Amino acid sequence: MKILVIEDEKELQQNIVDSLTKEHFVIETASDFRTASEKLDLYQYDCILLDIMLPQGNGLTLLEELKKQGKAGNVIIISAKDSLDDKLKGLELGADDYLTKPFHLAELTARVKAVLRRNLLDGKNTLEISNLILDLNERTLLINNENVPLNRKEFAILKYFLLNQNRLVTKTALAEHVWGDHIDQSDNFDFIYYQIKNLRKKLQLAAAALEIEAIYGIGYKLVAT
Amino acid sequence: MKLANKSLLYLSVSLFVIIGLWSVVFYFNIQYEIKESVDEGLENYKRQIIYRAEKDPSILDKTNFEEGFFAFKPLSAKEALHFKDRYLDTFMYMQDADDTELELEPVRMLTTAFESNGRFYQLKIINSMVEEDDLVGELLEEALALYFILMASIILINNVVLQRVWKPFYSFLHQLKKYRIGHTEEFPTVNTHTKEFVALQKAVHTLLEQNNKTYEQQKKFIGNASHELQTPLAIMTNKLELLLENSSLQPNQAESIAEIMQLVDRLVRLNKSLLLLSKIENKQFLNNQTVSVNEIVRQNLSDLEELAEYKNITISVIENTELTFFMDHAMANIIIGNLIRNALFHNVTNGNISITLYENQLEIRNSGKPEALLSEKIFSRFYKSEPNSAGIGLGLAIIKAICELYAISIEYHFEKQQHLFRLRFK
Amino acid sequence: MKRLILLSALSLYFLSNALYAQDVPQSQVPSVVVNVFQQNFQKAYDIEWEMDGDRYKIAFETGILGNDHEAWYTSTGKLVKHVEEISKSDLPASVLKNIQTTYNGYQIDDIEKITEGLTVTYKMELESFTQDWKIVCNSNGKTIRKIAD
Repeated sequence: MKILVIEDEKELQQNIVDSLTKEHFVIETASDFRTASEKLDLYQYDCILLDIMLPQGNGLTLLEELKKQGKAGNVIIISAKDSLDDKLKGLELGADDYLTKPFHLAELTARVKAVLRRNLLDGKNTLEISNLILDLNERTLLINNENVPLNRKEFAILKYFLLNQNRLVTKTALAEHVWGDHIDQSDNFDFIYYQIKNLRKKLQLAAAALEIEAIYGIGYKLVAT
Repeated sequence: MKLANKSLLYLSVSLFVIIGLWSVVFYFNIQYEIKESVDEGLENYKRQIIYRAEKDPSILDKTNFEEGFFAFKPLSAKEALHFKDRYLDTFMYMQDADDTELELEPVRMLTTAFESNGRFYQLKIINSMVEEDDLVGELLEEALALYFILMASIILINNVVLQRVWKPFYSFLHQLKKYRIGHTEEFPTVNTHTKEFVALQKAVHTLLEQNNKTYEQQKKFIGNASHELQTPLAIMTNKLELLLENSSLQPNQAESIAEIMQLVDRLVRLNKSLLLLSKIENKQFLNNQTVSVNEIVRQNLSDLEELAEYKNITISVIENTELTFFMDHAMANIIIGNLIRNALFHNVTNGNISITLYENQLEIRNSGKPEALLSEKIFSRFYKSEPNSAGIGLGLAIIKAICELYAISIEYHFEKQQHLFRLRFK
Repeated sequence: MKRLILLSALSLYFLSNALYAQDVPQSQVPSVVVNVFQQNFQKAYDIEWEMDGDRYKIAFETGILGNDHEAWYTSTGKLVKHVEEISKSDLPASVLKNIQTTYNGYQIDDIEKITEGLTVTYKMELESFTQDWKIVCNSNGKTIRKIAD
């Protein structure tokens, strides 16, 4: 899997590269409009992370170029400019997703994987890890081929963990992903704890070869046992 | 106190003093004039009586006032020759037309001396005077009448003239009251050429222009500042996440990092909220469409179903009508979603929420803390009902800002131990 | 200095008044005198009282034309003298005739009728181009006194 990160902010670029490297992707970077343009002309990428504000040009111009070549489908726009206009324009030009800074790395990973899966989908839309199969179309969980009923939130949480296997998922990232943005987050974490507890119980009962570990009280990590 | 009433008060007091003083002067003047004229009359009587006495000496025997208004008394030559005319105010028992019996009445008496056929006589002539009490009483009544007539006319003139003169001012004031910085497009205008009002208008316009400018700058500043903070905050968050994934961390180091992360999270939320507020105020959401409030309520409730279950909160929805409104969908979702989330988060275990949709109206009631929130403060920025909460105190401020943008009225009430938020869509 | 002049002028004025004739308000005049005067001259107006020695001198006017009068009373109320300004037509016909014959060609002017007790005399000025006379004549028109003017 080859990913191009077009981001002029060096530190952020490095963070993204570090994070995606852990998922064993091949990463290339571009820090300005010209470099990005050149790389896009020369190589094929499975996923492109595109910052709109670039030195020497606008990311949307690159997107337009990609659309002409029919390669806009695997672009995720990353922007600090959370304006509706840009978002609509970006999606109109065929970008797959739009991620506003600041974002959680878990969210980035999930979105990148979603893009990759969508583009490489071979009929079935499932996540399979050890003895566990999560069917995203049917919204079912099979453990050792046994159906384990999950409520909607549990399903969403498990999916998020599966997309971020062996990675830290912070409670805030989880809350935002599952419940969306809310200004007053104070009460969410108790509920997350409660949902995780239920999910763990279900995984344990079905003898899943997976475990959700708590990390320093700030988040969780899904690991294979 | 109204200006017109204030000037009226001053006028009434000063008029009272002026008319009072004038009445006193007038009283003495009248009294003097009356005396003068009475004295003149007495003098005329005197001449006639002396003339008659010359013709008919028999009347000289009349020595008391019983039958008339004059009386004689013989005098010695010595007394008579030194006698000078005297006018005197005195009292006598008399019966006026309006009296039933004799009464002591004030009289003016002229005493003179004359010679008739070689003999000297003293002559006293009386004339009744106006009773001073009557005069004072009458004058007081007249003065009071004058005062009240004057006051009545002044009030009338005040009402008609002053109200007309001040009309442009009140209309200006009304416009000014309705003026909202950043919302009202046109400046209040005063419809007159009256110099003072025109000057007032000019001063107000200058002030408003400055205010608008400051407001715009502030808006821009908040927008720019929060925008510029986005990237550094993204880097921080991600760096900390990467750091925590590093397995070589000591537990206490990890905990410190976790704490920093939580603070950064708060910063991120604060910044996002400020950016949102700034966007609302800059009217950057213009994708207005007919949105179904019922739909948004249902969607939000479905998202929060498990959370309500967890807290064992009963949610009831009464949809009396299909409520639609023309606005940005995302904004409608922020208002309703946040209100419902608040109702859920600030609820108690086993509590309840009831959502009712009326014609042009949405009510969200919930159980919670058994005391009312400060309704005048909850919508202001950075106000927190619980000072220690991790919330940032912008939730209701954002709701309020959106409501203002779409002219939706929002109210908070505390009724029957329930917190009630009511939205009126006009 | 100015004040001093004013003061002396004022005091001089009052002093001269006291020396010659003194104005008296009517209220200061004995009633007997006032009453007699009022009975004698019922139509008098513009009355001014003066002390003239031990007598009271009254200046007043009568009639529409305002004929000047002067009357003197004793302090007991006896009219002692009355001087009345009259016109030529008021002169008794005998007096007029007499004077016109005696002083032919003279203008008669400033005629005064003077009554003292029961005697009546007339005082007048006679003017011609060459000679002016002041004469007093009795009620018959006979000249009693004659002074060149």
